[in-house]
Amino acid sequence: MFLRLLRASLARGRRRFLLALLALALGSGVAAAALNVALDVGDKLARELRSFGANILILPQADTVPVEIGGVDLRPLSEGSFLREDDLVKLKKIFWRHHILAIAPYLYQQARLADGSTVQLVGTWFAKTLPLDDGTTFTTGLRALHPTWQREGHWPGDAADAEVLLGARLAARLSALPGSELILELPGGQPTRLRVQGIVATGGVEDEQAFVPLAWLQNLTGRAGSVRRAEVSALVTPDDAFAQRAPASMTPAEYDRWYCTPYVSSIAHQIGEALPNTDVRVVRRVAQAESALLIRIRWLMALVSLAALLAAALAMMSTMRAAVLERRREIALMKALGAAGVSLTGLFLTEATLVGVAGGIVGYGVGRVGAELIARTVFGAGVASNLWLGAVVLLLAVGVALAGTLLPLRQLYGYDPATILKET
Amino acid sequence: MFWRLVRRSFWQSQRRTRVALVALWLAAVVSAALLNLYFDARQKVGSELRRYGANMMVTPASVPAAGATELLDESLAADLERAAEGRLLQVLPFLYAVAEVSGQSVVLAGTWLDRAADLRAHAQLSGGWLEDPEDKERCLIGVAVASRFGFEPGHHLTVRYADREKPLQVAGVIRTGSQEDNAILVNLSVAQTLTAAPGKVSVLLGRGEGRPEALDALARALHAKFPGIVVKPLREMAESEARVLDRIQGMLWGTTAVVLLLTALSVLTTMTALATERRREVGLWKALGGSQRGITRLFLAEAALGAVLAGIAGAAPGVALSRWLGQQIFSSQVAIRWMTLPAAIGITLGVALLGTYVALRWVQRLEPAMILREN
Repeated sequence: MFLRLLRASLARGRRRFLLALLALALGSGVAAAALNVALDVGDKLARELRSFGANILILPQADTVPVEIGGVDLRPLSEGSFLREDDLVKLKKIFWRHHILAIAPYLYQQARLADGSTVQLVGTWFAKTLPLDDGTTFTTGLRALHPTWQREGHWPGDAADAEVLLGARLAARLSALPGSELILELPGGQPTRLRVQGIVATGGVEDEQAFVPLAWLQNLTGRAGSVRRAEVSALVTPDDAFAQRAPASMTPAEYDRWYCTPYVSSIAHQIGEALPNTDVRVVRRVAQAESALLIRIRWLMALVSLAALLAAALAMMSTMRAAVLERRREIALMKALGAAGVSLTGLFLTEATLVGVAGGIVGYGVGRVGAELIARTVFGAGVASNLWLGAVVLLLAVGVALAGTLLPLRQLYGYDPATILKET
Repeated sequence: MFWRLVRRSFWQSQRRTRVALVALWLAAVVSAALLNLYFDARQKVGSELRRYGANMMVTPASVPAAGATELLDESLAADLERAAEGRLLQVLPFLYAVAEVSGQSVVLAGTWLDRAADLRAHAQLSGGWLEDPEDKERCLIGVAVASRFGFEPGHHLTVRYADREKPLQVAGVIRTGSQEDNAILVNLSVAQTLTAAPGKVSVLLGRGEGRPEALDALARALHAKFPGIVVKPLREMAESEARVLDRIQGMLWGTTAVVLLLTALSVLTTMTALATERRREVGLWKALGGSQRGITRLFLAEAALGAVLAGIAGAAPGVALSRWLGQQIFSSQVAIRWMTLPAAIGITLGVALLGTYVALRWVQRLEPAMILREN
């Protein structure tokens, strides 16, 4: 009897059923899209913020104080200590290895140009491919660390070739163009020819520098395998009150939690474990700005998703409400014919559940497409699919459908069926 | 006659219209809150980005001859800020010199420490800061310098440059993770006296506001006014900032539009339901010879009246909500943009009219006799 009633009701009210389904699918779909993007946006923006440069710096321990102006170490290579270039691959073996987005080592050397002026040579990786233990490779260097650098010409290679990437001001001073040659002289060395591969304009101190392949500079200076420092760009989670605490003061359980959260401090700590005898520093300006920004954005996105959820729920509720109220004459008639309130409610709620489940499933599909569309437009990359989001959306659709049915039903029960039947 | 009808139908069908009014009121609240927040978010996030530090650098235009260093005048800092008319802020001068402490080379950096609020905000400090710009006896030292020489706040050290010496007391030790860790920081005048360069600085750093193109234009304008200098936007900063801001704004735009759309949808369904419920009224009106246009006008006027009332009642709480949210998210007040009030009312009005119109189109297709008989 119940099933027959249900079937009949669904068949007769096909238009109404489809309308409710449409509203539910649309509402839950839009909510799903907004939630999906909002959940993913923190990660996307965290990556975006990495273009502000390195947030971790690795220096050799037991060093003399670096004589550093504008990020360049002015000490002669005979002074101070060095990091081993070969050790840097160990960064990709730490617990949070996948959060290490870029590494660039640096070796500095002053050289004299033909006109007698001095130039800062910076030996580094441009896009060096490191083989990893798991058989994959990791390509990193200046290009990965500074994705926004504007370059004219090509990047130099990472072999020990005499190639150079010139800073824009230096290039203008020397009237050098990509393809031209540069002659310079290292202290106590022979004049060397370098081929200008490209020119980079950053507006900063880099405009006065000359970037050369690290291997080439190491060979020329007899410093094979040595680097002065390394900059690391790591994807981090924003610092909270817990992250501010000193690891030494934590209980073992807290320490594990700290260690297994990608805070900038715990990643720096793990780098220190992987590279003993180094001084791993968190670049506080970058780390703090990043943290503050990410926290704000998370809040903003949480708020917007909440608003989307509420608005979706409202839209769906009003449709369900209209659908029930449209049938009040039917309800009154059934009641007048002696139908029990419970079985009536059961019929309507079963219908609502069916609509909710169908709407939720369709809505999740619509939402996935919508999220993909938004993410592609705004970030130029897709979003990760989130299965539990599907469950949330389904629950939302069913919940809203049930609430949207039950509330007006209760209101209708309050009236005498005779009044309703007479009114119409 | 028309207005009496509007008035009567509006007040007499209170119960029915209440739901519609609530939906419209919510639409007004949501659209006012989101619009107000949306317009301020870019600026708010932009001010967060200031923590990344300077994005403009000022250096001498001429190329230094071998061995020599070109310097700028300290007074340029104020001149540039004035000339930029608010587009260049927080200009700080720096004078760098490689000095010696106990026979080792250490960078000495002179600046206006009392005004270096930005440096102070991100530095981890043990000991005290140099508050007094006239303090010529004390210095801050970087953590690498402190650990190398074993200095602590209160200790004394002697800085030597060329043949001049300057005894200084350590006021505090700072850790920033970048170059300040390796330097001795003093007030600008101390560095100027030690290097015999009174009134001179090596570089000026400042913060320009706007997109990379605006910063480029500002740099050119300043260069034209002060030919002796080169003003350069730090591209990595400027462009990363613009990119991040565009992304966030794009996100907000998308989600705000989505929420407004959903709100519109809920108003639409409510208005449709309302019009459907009243089809008997429509049938009667038509049977009595009322014109189609008359009904449309009556219904639309009612919807407009409701929307304006709900909009007025909802826009103010919406703006208040956005201020509260701004306080929660950005810990600073979101400015009230008066434009959002009429905009929110306008959106509510548009949604209400659209919903009613769509509903009417559907109801109008019905024949009056059909409706009246059906009941």
